[in-house]
Amino acid sequence: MLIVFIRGIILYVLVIFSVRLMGKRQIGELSPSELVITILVSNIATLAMEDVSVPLFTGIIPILTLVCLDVLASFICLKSRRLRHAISGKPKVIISNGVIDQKQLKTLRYSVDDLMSSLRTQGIFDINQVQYAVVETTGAISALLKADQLPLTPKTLSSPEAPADPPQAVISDGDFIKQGEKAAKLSEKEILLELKRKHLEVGDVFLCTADPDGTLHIIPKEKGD
Amino acid sequence: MKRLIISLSIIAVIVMVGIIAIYSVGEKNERLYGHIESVLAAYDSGEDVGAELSGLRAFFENEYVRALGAFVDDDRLAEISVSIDRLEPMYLSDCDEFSAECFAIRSLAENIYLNELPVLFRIL
Repeated sequence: MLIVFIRGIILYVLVIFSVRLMGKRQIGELSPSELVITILVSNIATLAMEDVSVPLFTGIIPILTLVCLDVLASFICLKSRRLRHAISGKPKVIISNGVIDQKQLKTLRYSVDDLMSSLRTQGIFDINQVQYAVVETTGAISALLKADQLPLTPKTLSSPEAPADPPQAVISDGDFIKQGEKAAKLSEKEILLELKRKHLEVGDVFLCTADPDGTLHIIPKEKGD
Repeated sequence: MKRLIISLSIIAVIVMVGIIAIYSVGEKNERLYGHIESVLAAYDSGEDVGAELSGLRAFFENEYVRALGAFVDDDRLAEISVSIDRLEPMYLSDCDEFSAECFAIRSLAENIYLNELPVLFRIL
């Protein structure tokens, strides 16, 4: 009995360490890879805790291997957008300019009830109030209200703007994002020209967003990165 | 970056522990084979088999199990332990399967070593 107790303590400390090693993102919303790792870690820990005939190392080693691979994968994802999209998927726009993209909803296997339910959790009970909505890689829906439904702020009071979709990222960490270019209705040439005017190369850009009217907002990379 | 370094260090430690486990199992097995050879030699020449069996049991319980208990399933070690326990009554009753039981112990120990090797067919 005491052996199970001690194994429990060791595995508890190990799982806490593992979750901390995976980072703060783990505690909040889970991406597909993080969900898989969490389920596997909990299952392996349970087996190693209960079955005293199995060496504790056969529980510890797979947990540490999974967690370390997750950290390595997230590091590689930071460097490679392709891998990031392959592992975590891409956020998908399901409502743009107040219009529901039904094809996208079908692709995501999202029913209207799911959509309504997610919007209700954000305090939106009328879908007609939504200007723009995205299904994030975690499966959560982020929604932007139409301009006439947004809370009044000093900025909106002075310049009541026409409803518009939010800005789209067109360059991220020195790489062009084709999807963003399409949404912003800007060609690669036009973006490059704008960068040239600011004496910047694509590789020098940390983030470049484009408003629906084509205005670019550029954040250059910090030197030494 | 700190997390990455910790992860890479842990992976390096896991690989090292794996290699040490293979080396450790191999080394302990060689010593176990030596004890079995001594038992068989004593049995063939009619010397003091009892003393050799005690030596084999002491080595198994005090060194083999303690060293490999961290890597190897208890069931596998229990199988060898049961076989070693059988040797003495077999010897006392002059059972003709005494040598076969010694070879069975050797075979069980060899299986433990082979199971530690990262060979493709065992991985799959």
